[in-house]
Amino acid sequence: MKRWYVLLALLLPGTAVGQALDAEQLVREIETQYQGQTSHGVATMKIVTADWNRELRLELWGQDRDRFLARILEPKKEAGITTLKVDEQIWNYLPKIDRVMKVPSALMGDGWMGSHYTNDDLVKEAKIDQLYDFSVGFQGETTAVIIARPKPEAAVVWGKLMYVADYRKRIPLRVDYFDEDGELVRRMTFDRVEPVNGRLIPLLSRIEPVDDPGEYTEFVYETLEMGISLPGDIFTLRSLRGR
Amino acid sequence: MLFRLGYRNLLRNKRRTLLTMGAMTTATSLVILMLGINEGMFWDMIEGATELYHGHAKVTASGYLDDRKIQLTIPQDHPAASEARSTSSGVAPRLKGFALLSFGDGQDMESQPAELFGIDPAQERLVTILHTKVVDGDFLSGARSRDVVIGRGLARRLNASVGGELAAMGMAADGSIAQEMFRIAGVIDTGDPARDALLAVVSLETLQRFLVLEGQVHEFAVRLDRPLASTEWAATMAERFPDTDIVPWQKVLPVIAQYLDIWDEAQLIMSLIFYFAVILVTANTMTMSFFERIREFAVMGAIGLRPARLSRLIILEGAILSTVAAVIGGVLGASLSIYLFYNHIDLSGSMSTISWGGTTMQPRLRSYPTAQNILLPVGLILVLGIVVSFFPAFRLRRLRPVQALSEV
Repeated sequence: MKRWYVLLALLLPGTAVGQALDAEQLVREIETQYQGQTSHGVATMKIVTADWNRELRLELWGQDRDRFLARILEPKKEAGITTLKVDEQIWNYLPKIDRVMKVPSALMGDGWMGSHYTNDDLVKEAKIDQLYDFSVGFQGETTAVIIARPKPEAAVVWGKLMYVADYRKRIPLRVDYFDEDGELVRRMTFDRVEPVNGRLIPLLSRIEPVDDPGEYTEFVYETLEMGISLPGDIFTLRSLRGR
Repeated sequence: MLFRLGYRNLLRNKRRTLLTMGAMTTATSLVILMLGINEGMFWDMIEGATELYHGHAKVTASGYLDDRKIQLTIPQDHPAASEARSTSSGVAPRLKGFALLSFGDGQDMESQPAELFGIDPAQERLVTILHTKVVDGDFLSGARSRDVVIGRGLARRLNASVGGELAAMGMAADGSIAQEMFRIAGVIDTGDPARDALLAVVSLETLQRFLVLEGQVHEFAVRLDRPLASTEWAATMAERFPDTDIVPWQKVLPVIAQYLDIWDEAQLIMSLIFYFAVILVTANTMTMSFFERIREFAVMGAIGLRPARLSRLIILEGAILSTVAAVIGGVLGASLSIYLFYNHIDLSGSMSTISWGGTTMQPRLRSYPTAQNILLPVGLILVLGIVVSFFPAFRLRRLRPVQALSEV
């Protein structure tokens, strides 16, 4: 794949590459980069807010674009709290009271596990290409800017998304989220690009709300493997409770 | 001598005196009663707006009322609370937080966001009447139980009923994920559907643990002996405890406060109109009696009573008349007002509770007598009796006995 790009770049130097850039395909790849066919990893999530700071260690499983399971390993007080996402629904399992709770649609905009990622982020990222129209805003040697605008009928919270990506490495560098008035609301940046199962993946992502300077959530994979085989029933309510 | 003369004059025509005095007495007592009922309705409306939830005043951490951030707490044993306790009839510590509540399991599970309202039931009882609004089951019993009392709307949305178990998930003040299991002790109907759809009343200590805010509260709600003096109370307290925000209910419910201000002003204008009518009636009666007696005055002038003394006599008569009327009217009005303070007139047969401007008007007539409301009409009638008699008194100075005698 990479070699093909080098070849292409040699054959068609300069802007000619732009003709070949499929904005939608690039964003789809970026948004689902951590999922792959199947994935399993351990990550730390550092949350910094004006009132408190905390760090969570999580174990995560993913399959295709619509199944996702995350379990808190640390801190001890919250260990075992698990989130399951199947399609557009999210459940949380609370071990202390041994209950599964479904997140109602009214709370989809709330932070996931207290972070700056919302429940909506978990749900909507998988179908970003169905909700937005994409256009190439700028294309350089390696970097491209993709503008995503919601389709007229799409029920989304953002007015515009702006992806800055390295389209040769197929990795995101930055995503800006704008509200309906065109104001920048939050910014997501990526770092620590490493090869995982033959793909380049940024192991660190960081999200910063513009209105609360100094606040951020940083998500770093300690380990990440892809293309592995997972138990068939891992993404079910039974397994959410039982593991 | 003059006093005796005036006194005798008044007794001479008993019917006329009684008529004038009756008008003054009735007017005085009616004005006292009217002001008392006004104040009573005003008080009722303040109670209607505050007794359910807010209380007459609030003590909070600095900035909490504007920001409502969960971290803006004050210690439960803050000195402002004990000071408030010694100057009011009740102080209730409270903590608030949001949580996702869910009832049932599996496919039938319902989840709803709710406002957790942590209270100490024994102390809350002294400030609000929340405990009387239970429509099913019981209110909270202890300060540390796992019981929850939920609003009717919330119960319906959760499809939950008394005795069921509610799972709660929320974010604590330190950002950690809070989880707790509650037992539904009762269902409450506050009459405000918007609130009932969110309200979940739990015990203070349980919520403190849930939110990782041990020993902390968001506010103290205060019930004052005299809610009409809430602004003064809050100002005095705020001066003593500058590290907190201490506000009267008018600041918490500015719209209702404004409505009540308008209402109070309208009532004041009504009182003034009423008073004007009283002045006209009294002045009329006194002037009439003066003209009726003009012959009498002329005779007194003819037998040697000087005009100045005659004027003084008239004013003295007016003073005696108004003093007696003020005393009788004052006592009568005050007793009626006090009677209506203890014994409301129930109007629920002919009208129902009226919701107006965010508060409710109870279908009852109740009076709230204050010293001001009693002394003001009494003082006014005293002044009025004398002022009204000045007018004939001045006329008497120009009285020509011969002319006056021949006129009639």
